[in-house]
Amino acid sequence: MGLREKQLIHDLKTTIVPKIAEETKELMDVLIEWEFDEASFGDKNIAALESIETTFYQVQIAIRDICMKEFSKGVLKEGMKKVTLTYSAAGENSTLFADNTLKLAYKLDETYPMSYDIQRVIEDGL
Amino acid sequence: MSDNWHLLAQLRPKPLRQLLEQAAALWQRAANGEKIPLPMVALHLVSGRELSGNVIRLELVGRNPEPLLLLHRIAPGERFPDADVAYVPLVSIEAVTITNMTQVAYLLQSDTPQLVPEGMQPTRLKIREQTVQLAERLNTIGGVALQLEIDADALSQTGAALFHLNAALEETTQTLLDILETLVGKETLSAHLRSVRFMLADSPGVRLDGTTLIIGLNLAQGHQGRLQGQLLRRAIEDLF
Repeated sequence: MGLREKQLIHDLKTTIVPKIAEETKELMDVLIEWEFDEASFGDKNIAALESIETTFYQVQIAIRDICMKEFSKGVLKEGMKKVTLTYSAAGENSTLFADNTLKLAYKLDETYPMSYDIQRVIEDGL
Repeated sequence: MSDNWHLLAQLRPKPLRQLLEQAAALWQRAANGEKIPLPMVALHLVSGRELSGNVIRLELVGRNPEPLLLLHRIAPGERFPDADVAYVPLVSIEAVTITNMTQVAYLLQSDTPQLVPEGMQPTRLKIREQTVQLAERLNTIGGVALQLEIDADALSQTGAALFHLNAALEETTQTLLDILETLVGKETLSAHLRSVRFMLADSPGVRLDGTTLIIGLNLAQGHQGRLQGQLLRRAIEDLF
Protein backbone atom coordinates (compact mmCIF):
# COMPACT_ATOMS: atom_id res chain seq x y z
CA MET A 1 0.00 0.00 0.00
CA GLY A 2 1.38 3.38 -1.02
CA LEU A 3 1.68 6.52 1.07
CA ARG A 4 -1.43 8.13 -0.45
CA GLU A 5 -3.52 5.09 0.42
CA LYS A 6 -2.16 4.99 3.98
CA GLN A 7 -2.85 8.68 4.44
CA LEU A 8 -6.38 8.29 3.10
CA ILE A 9 -7.15 5.39 5.43
CA HIS A 10 -5.82 7.46 8.32
CA ASP A 11 -8.02 10.40 7.28
CA LEU A 12 -11.04 8.15 6.87
CA LYS A 13 -10.62 6.76 10.38
CA THR A 14 -9.78 9.98 12.17
CA THR A 15 -11.62 12.69 10.26
CA ILE A 16 -13.91 11.74 7.39
CA VAL A 17 -16.01 8.95 8.89
CA PRO A 18 -16.32 10.61 12.34
CA LYS A 19 -17.46 13.78 10.55
CA ILE A 20 -20.20 11.88 8.71
CA ALA A 21 -21.32 10.32 11.99
CA GLU A 22 -21.36 13.71 13.70
CA GLU A 23 -23.30 15.36 10.86
CA THR A 24 -25.87 12.57 10.94
CA LYS A 25 -26.29 13.06 14.67
CA GLU A 26 -26.50 16.85 14.42
CA LEU A 27 -28.68 17.20 11.33
CA MET A 28 -30.94 14.20 11.67
CA ASP A 29 -30.65 13.46 15.38
CA VAL A 30 -29.78 9.87 14.50
CA LEU A 31 -26.93 8.12 16.28
CA ILE A 32 -25.32 5.51 14.06
CA GLU A 33 -22.07 3.60 14.19
CA TRP A 34 -20.18 3.78 10.89
CA GLU A 35 -17.62 1.10 10.13
CA PHE A 36 -15.58 0.05 7.14
CA ASP A 37 -13.71 -3.21 7.08
CA GLU A 38 -10.15 -1.99 6.70
CA ALA A 39 -8.75 -5.48 6.19
CA SER A 40 -10.97 -6.10 3.17
CA PHE A 41 -9.61 -2.91 1.58
CA GLY A 42 -6.04 -4.10 2.38
CA ASP A 43 -4.17 -3.49 -0.85
CA LYS A 44 -6.87 -1.80 -2.89
CA ASN A 45 -6.29 1.17 -5.12
CA ILE A 46 -7.03 4.75 -4.23
CA ALA A 47 -10.29 4.75 -6.20
CA ALA A 48 -11.76 2.08 -3.95
CA LEU A 49 -10.72 3.93 -0.82
CA GLU A 50 -12.09 7.23 -2.07
CA SER A 51 -15.43 5.57 -2.72
CA ILE A 52 -15.80 4.78 0.99
CA GLU A 53 -16.59 8.43 1.69
CA THR A 54 -18.90 8.64 -1.33
CA THR A 55 -20.76 5.52 -0.24
CA PHE A 56 -21.21 6.72 3.32
CA TYR A 57 -22.57 10.01 2.01
CA GLN A 58 -25.06 8.08 -0.13
CA VAL A 59 -26.15 6.30 3.06
CA GLN A 60 -26.43 9.63 4.84
CA ILE A 61 -28.65 11.00 2.04
CA ALA A 62 -30.87 7.90 2.32
CA ILE A 63 -31.14 8.42 6.08
CA ARG A 64 -31.92 12.10 5.56
CA ASP A 65 -34.72 11.27 3.12
CA ILE A 66 -36.21 8.68 5.46
CA CYS A 67 -36.08 11.19 8.32
CA MET A 68 -38.16 13.71 6.34
CA LYS A 69 -41.25 12.14 7.91
CA GLU A 70 -41.60 11.94 11.65
CA PHE A 71 -43.07 8.44 11.69
CA SER A 72 -40.25 7.04 9.57
CA LYS A 73 -37.65 8.92 11.59
CA GLY A 74 -38.97 7.38 14.80
CA VAL A 75 -38.80 3.88 13.34
CA LEU A 76 -35.31 4.48 11.97
CA LYS A 77 -33.99 5.80 15.26
CA GLU A 78 -35.25 2.66 16.96
CA GLY A 79 -34.24 0.17 14.31
CA MET A 80 -31.00 1.27 12.69
CA LYS A 81 -27.84 1.31 14.75
CA LYS A 82 -24.94 0.58 12.47
CA VAL A 83 -23.56 0.76 8.91
CA THR A 84 -20.82 -1.59 7.76
CA LEU A 85 -18.95 -1.40 4.47
CA THR A 86 -16.82 -4.21 3.08
CA TYR A 87 -14.81 -4.40 -0.13
CA SER A 88 -16.28 -7.19 -2.23
CA ALA A 89 -13.35 -8.67 -4.10
CA ALA A 90 -15.62 -11.14 -5.92
CA GLY A 91 -17.57 -8.22 -7.30
CA GLU A 92 -20.87 -9.49 -5.89
CA ASN A 93 -22.32 -6.21 -4.78
CA SER A 94 -25.00 -6.28 -2.11
CA THR A 95 -26.98 -4.02 0.21
CA LEU A 96 -28.65 -5.82 3.11
CA PHE A 97 -30.38 -4.80 6.27
CA ALA A 98 -30.39 -7.17 9.22
CA ASP A 99 -29.83 -7.08 12.97
CA ASN A 100 -30.26 -3.30 13.08
CA THR A 101 -27.36 -3.00 10.66
CA LEU A 102 -27.09 -1.82 7.07
CA LYS A 103 -24.52 -4.11 5.49
CA LEU A 104 -22.88 -2.95 2.29
CA ALA A 105 -20.46 -5.05 0.25
CA TYR A 106 -19.25 -3.48 -2.99
CA LYS A 107 -16.35 -3.64 -5.37
CA LEU A 108 -15.86 0.02 -4.76
CA ASP A 109 -13.29 0.76 -7.46
CA GLU A 110 -15.97 -0.18 -9.99
CA THR A 111 -19.23 0.94 -8.45
CA TYR A 112 -20.96 2.17 -5.32
CA PRO A 113 -24.59 2.06 -4.17
CA MET A 114 -26.95 4.96 -4.78
CA SER A 115 -28.99 6.57 -2.04
CA TYR A 116 -32.34 5.64 -3.58
CA ASP A 117 -31.51 1.93 -3.58
CA ILE A 118 -30.09 2.14 -0.07
CA GLN A 119 -33.25 3.89 1.11
CA ARG A 120 -35.46 1.10 -0.22
CA VAL A 121 -33.40 -1.57 1.50
CA ILE A 122 -33.49 0.28 4.83
CA GLU A 123 -37.22 0.95 4.54
CA ASP A 124 -37.95 -2.68 3.72
CA GLY A 125 -35.73 -3.93 6.53
CA LEU A 126 -36.82 -1.69 9.37
CA MET B 1 -34.43 3.31 -20.74
CA SER B 2 -33.61 0.74 -18.05
CA ASP B 3 -37.00 0.79 -16.28
CA ASN B 4 -38.94 0.57 -19.56
CA TRP B 5 -36.64 -2.12 -20.82
CA HIS B 6 -37.47 -4.28 -17.81
CA LEU B 7 -41.19 -3.70 -18.34
CA LEU B 8 -41.13 -4.34 -22.08
CA ALA B 9 -39.18 -7.54 -21.57
CA GLN B 10 -42.04 -8.94 -19.47
CA LEU B 11 -44.87 -8.15 -21.89
CA ARG B 12 -46.45 -11.06 -23.74
CA PRO B 13 -48.41 -10.96 -26.99
CA LYS B 14 -52.14 -11.52 -26.76
CA PRO B 15 -55.09 -11.53 -29.19
CA LEU B 16 -56.46 -8.05 -29.94
CA ARG B 17 -59.90 -9.04 -28.79
CA GLN B 18 -58.59 -10.18 -25.39
CA LEU B 19 -56.58 -6.98 -24.99
CA LEU B 20 -59.61 -4.82 -25.81
CA GLU B 21 -61.83 -6.85 -23.47
CA GLN B 22 -59.34 -6.23 -20.67
CA ALA B 23 -59.30 -2.51 -21.47
CA ALA B 24 -63.12 -2.46 -21.34
CA ALA B 25 -63.09 -4.30 -17.99
CA LEU B 26 -60.75 -1.64 -16.60
CA TRP B 27 -63.15 1.09 -17.76
CA GLN B 28 -65.97 -0.64 -15.85
CA ARG B 29 -63.80 -0.85 -12.72
CA ALA B 30 -63.02 2.86 -12.99
CA ALA B 31 -66.74 3.57 -13.49
CA ASN B 32 -67.38 1.70 -10.22
CA GLY B 33 -65.17 4.17 -8.42
CA GLU B 34 -61.84 2.39 -8.45
CA LYS B 35 -58.92 4.77 -8.88
CA ILE B 36 -56.96 3.14 -11.66
CA PRO B 37 -55.34 4.52 -14.80
CA LEU B 38 -57.07 3.62 -18.05
CA PRO B 39 -55.22 2.39 -21.11
CA MET B 40 -55.07 5.02 -23.83
CA VAL B 41 -55.48 3.10 -27.07
CA ALA B 42 -54.88 4.08 -30.65
CA LEU B 43 -56.89 1.84 -32.97
CA HIS B 44 -55.27 1.38 -36.36
CA LEU B 45 -58.08 0.68 -38.79
CA VAL B 46 -57.78 -1.33 -42.00
CA SER B 47 -58.89 1.80 -43.86
CA GLY B 48 -55.63 3.43 -42.78
CA ARG B 49 -57.31 5.79 -40.33
CA GLU B 50 -56.66 5.93 -36.63
CA LEU B 51 -58.94 6.45 -33.62
CA SER B 52 -57.68 7.22 -30.11
CA GLY B 53 -59.41 7.01 -26.76
CA ASN B 54 -60.47 4.74 -23.90
CA VAL B 55 -62.28 1.47 -24.56
CA ILE B 56 -65.70 1.49 -22.88
CA ARG B 57 -67.22 -1.80 -23.94
CA LEU B 58 -66.77 -4.71 -26.31
CA GLU B 59 -69.84 -6.82 -27.06
CA LEU B 60 -71.40 -9.10 -29.62
CA VAL B 61 -74.35 -7.30 -31.19
CA GLY B 62 -76.83 -7.77 -34.05
CA ARG B 63 -78.73 -10.67 -35.55
CA ASN B 64 -75.53 -12.20 -36.85
CA PRO B 65 -73.48 -11.36 -33.78
CA GLU B 66 -70.52 -9.22 -34.59
CA PRO B 67 -68.08 -7.85 -32.01
CA LEU B 68 -68.52 -4.10 -31.71
CA LEU B 69 -66.34 -1.74 -29.74
CA LEU B 70 -67.38 1.47 -27.99
CA LEU B 71 -64.57 3.94 -27.80
CA HIS B 72 -64.60 7.17 -25.78
CA ARG B 73 -62.66 9.41 -28.12
CA ILE B 74 -60.04 11.75 -26.83
CA ALA B 75 -59.37 14.14 -29.69
CA PRO B 76 -56.08 15.96 -29.97
CA GLY B 77 -55.87 19.67 -30.63
CA GLU B 78 -58.18 22.46 -29.57
CA ARG B 79 -61.36 20.45 -29.20
CA PHE B 80 -61.82 18.51 -25.94
CA PRO B 81 -64.97 16.45 -26.33
CA ASP B 82 -66.58 15.18 -23.12
CA ALA B 83 -68.61 12.42 -24.60
CA ASP B 84 -67.64 11.65 -28.17
CA VAL B 85 -68.13 7.91 -28.58
CA ALA B 86 -67.07 5.92 -31.60
CA TYR B 87 -68.80 2.63 -32.54
CA VAL B 88 -66.15 0.46 -34.13
CA PRO B 89 -66.59 -3.04 -35.61
CA LEU B 90 -63.79 -5.26 -34.36
CA VAL B 91 -63.14 -6.52 -37.89
CA SER B 92 -62.12 -3.01 -38.92
CA ILE B 93 -59.17 -2.98 -36.49
CA GLU B 94 -55.86 -4.37 -37.65
CA ALA B 95 -53.63 -3.23 -34.77
CA VAL B 96 -53.76 -1.46 -31.43
CA THR B 97 -51.19 0.78 -29.79
CA ILE B 98 -51.29 1.34 -26.04
CA THR B 99 -49.77 4.78 -25.64
CA ASN B 100 -49.44 4.79 -21.84
CA MET B 101 -48.15 1.27 -21.30
CA THR B 102 -45.83 2.19 -18.42
CA GLN B 103 -48.86 3.21 -16.36
CA VAL B 104 -51.15 0.33 -17.27
CA ALA B 105 -48.97 -2.70 -17.99
CA TYR B 106 -49.55 -4.15 -14.54
CA LEU B 107 -53.32 -3.89 -15.10
CA LEU B 108 -53.37 -5.35 -18.60
CA GLN B 109 -51.04 -8.21 -17.78
CA SER B 110 -53.03 -9.43 -14.79
CA ASP B 111 -51.50 -12.87 -15.23
CA THR B 112 -48.12 -11.31 -14.42
CA PRO B 113 -48.80 -9.06 -11.42
CA GLN B 114 -45.07 -8.52 -10.93
CA LEU B 115 -45.29 -5.94 -13.72
CA VAL B 116 -45.97 -3.15 -11.23
CA PRO B 117 -43.08 -0.73 -11.90
CA GLU B 118 -40.55 -0.68 -9.07
CA GLY B 119 -41.11 3.02 -8.52
CA MET B 120 -44.74 2.24 -7.65
CA GLN B 121 -43.90 -0.47 -5.14
CA PRO B 122 -44.01 0.95 -1.63
CA THR B 123 -41.54 -0.19 1.00
CA ARG B 124 -42.70 -1.85 4.22
CA LEU B 125 -41.91 1.29 6.17
CA LYS B 126 -44.10 3.34 3.83
CA ILE B 127 -46.96 0.88 4.33
CA ARG B 128 -46.63 1.05 8.12
CA GLU B 129 -46.67 4.83 7.90
CA GLN B 130 -49.67 4.67 5.60
CA THR B 131 -51.48 2.49 8.13
CA VAL B 132 -51.07 5.14 10.80
CA GLN B 133 -52.16 7.94 8.47
CA LEU B 134 -55.24 6.09 7.24
CA ALA B 135 -56.31 5.28 10.81
CA GLU B 136 -56.04 9.02 11.53
CA ARG B 137 -58.22 9.75 8.49
CA LEU B 138 -60.87 7.34 9.71
CA ASN B 139 -60.77 9.08 13.05
CA THR B 140 -60.77 12.70 11.90
CA ILE B 141 -62.95 12.43 8.79
CA GLY B 142 -65.06 9.38 9.63
CA GLY B 143 -65.31 10.10 13.34
CA VAL B 144 -64.54 6.51 14.35
CA ALA B 145 -61.42 5.35 16.15
CA LEU B 146 -60.42 2.17 14.31
CA GLN B 147 -57.12 0.40 14.59
CA LEU B 148 -55.64 -0.77 11.27
CA GLU B 149 -53.41 -3.83 11.50
CA ILE B 150 -51.45 -5.77 8.93
CA ASP B 151 -50.67 -9.42 9.55
CA ALA B 152 -46.94 -10.15 9.68
CA ASP B 153 -47.24 -12.63 6.78
CA ALA B 154 -48.80 -9.97 4.57
CA LEU B 155 -46.22 -7.34 5.50
CA SER B 156 -43.35 -9.72 4.83
CA GLN B 157 -44.29 -9.92 1.14
CA THR B 158 -42.06 -8.24 -1.41
CA GLY B 159 -42.25 -6.30 -4.66
CA ALA B 160 -45.58 -5.97 -6.43
CA ALA B 161 -47.42 -7.69 -3.56
CA LEU B 162 -46.69 -4.64 -1.40
CA PHE B 163 -48.25 -2.43 -4.08
CA HIS B 164 -51.45 -4.46 -3.90
CA LEU B 165 -51.37 -4.51 -0.10
CA ASN B 166 -51.08 -0.72 -0.09
CA ALA B 167 -53.92 -0.44 -2.60
CA ALA B 168 -56.08 -2.67 -0.37
CA LEU B 169 -55.34 -0.41 2.60
CA GLU B 170 -56.37 2.69 0.68
CA GLU B 171 -59.46 1.15 -0.88
CA THR B 172 -60.71 -0.34 2.38
CA THR B 173 -60.23 2.95 4.20
CA GLN B 174 -62.08 4.84 1.48
CA THR B 175 -64.89 2.27 1.49
CA LEU B 176 -65.23 2.56 5.28
CA LEU B 177 -65.29 6.36 4.97
CA ASP B 178 -68.05 6.06 2.35
CA ILE B 179 -70.08 3.85 4.68
CA LEU B 180 -69.45 6.21 7.60
CA GLU B 181 -71.00 9.05 5.60
CA THR B 182 -74.43 7.50 6.15
CA LEU B 183 -76.14 7.78 9.53
CA VAL B 184 -76.90 4.06 9.79
CA GLY B 185 -73.42 3.18 8.61
CA LYS B 186 -71.79 5.40 11.21
CA GLU B 187 -73.95 4.09 14.05
CA THR B 188 -73.34 0.48 13.05
CA LEU B 189 -69.59 0.69 12.57
CA SER B 190 -69.16 2.77 15.75
CA ALA B 191 -71.05 0.18 17.77
CA HIS B 192 -69.60 -3.02 16.31
CA LEU B 193 -66.14 -2.33 14.94
CA ARG B 194 -62.87 -1.64 16.76
CA SER B 195 -60.21 -2.73 14.29
CA VAL B 196 -59.52 -3.79 10.71
CA ARG B 197 -57.00 -6.51 10.00
CA PHE B 198 -55.42 -7.27 6.60
CA MET B 199 -54.44 -10.92 6.15
CA LEU B 200 -53.31 -13.28 3.42
CA ALA B 201 -56.04 -15.62 2.16
CA ASP B 202 -56.49 -18.19 -0.59
CA SER B 203 -59.28 -16.12 -2.08
CA PRO B 204 -60.29 -12.50 -1.48
CA GLY B 205 -63.08 -11.80 0.99
CA VAL B 206 -64.16 -10.12 4.20
CA ARG B 207 -65.42 -11.50 7.51
CA LEU B 208 -65.97 -10.44 11.09
CA ASP B 209 -64.03 -11.82 14.01
CA GLY B 210 -65.61 -10.27 17.10
CA THR B 211 -65.13 -6.55 16.66
CA THR B 212 -62.42 -6.99 14.03
CA LEU B 213 -63.10 -6.73 10.32
CA ILE B 214 -60.83 -9.20 8.53
CA ILE B 215 -59.84 -8.29 4.97
CA GLY B 216 -58.60 -11.39 3.16
CA LEU B 217 -56.12 -10.79 0.36
CA ASN B 218 -54.40 -13.00 -2.17
CA LEU B 219 -51.56 -10.65 -3.01
CA ALA B 220 -49.99 -13.03 -5.53
CA GLN B 221 -53.04 -12.63 -7.77
CA GLY B 222 -52.61 -8.88 -8.12
CA HIS B 223 -55.84 -6.98 -8.70
CA GLN B 224 -57.84 -10.21 -8.82
CA GLY B 225 -56.72 -10.99 -5.29
CA ARG B 226 -58.78 -8.40 -3.44
CA LEU B 227 -62.35 -7.11 -3.37
CA GLN B 228 -62.69 -3.63 -4.77
CA GLY B 229 -65.17 -0.81 -5.38
CA GLN B 230 -68.84 -1.64 -4.96
CA LEU B 231 -68.09 -5.33 -4.37
CA LEU B 232 -66.02 -4.47 -1.31
CA ARG B 233 -68.62 -2.08 0.04
CA ARG B 234 -71.44 -4.58 -0.43
CA ALA B 235 -69.42 -7.35 1.21
CA ILE B 236 -68.67 -5.19 4.28
CA GLU B 237 -72.25 -3.95 4.57
CA ASP B 238 -73.57 -7.51 4.36
CA LEU B 239 -71.61 -8.44 7.51
CA PHE B 240 -73.69 -6.19 9.77
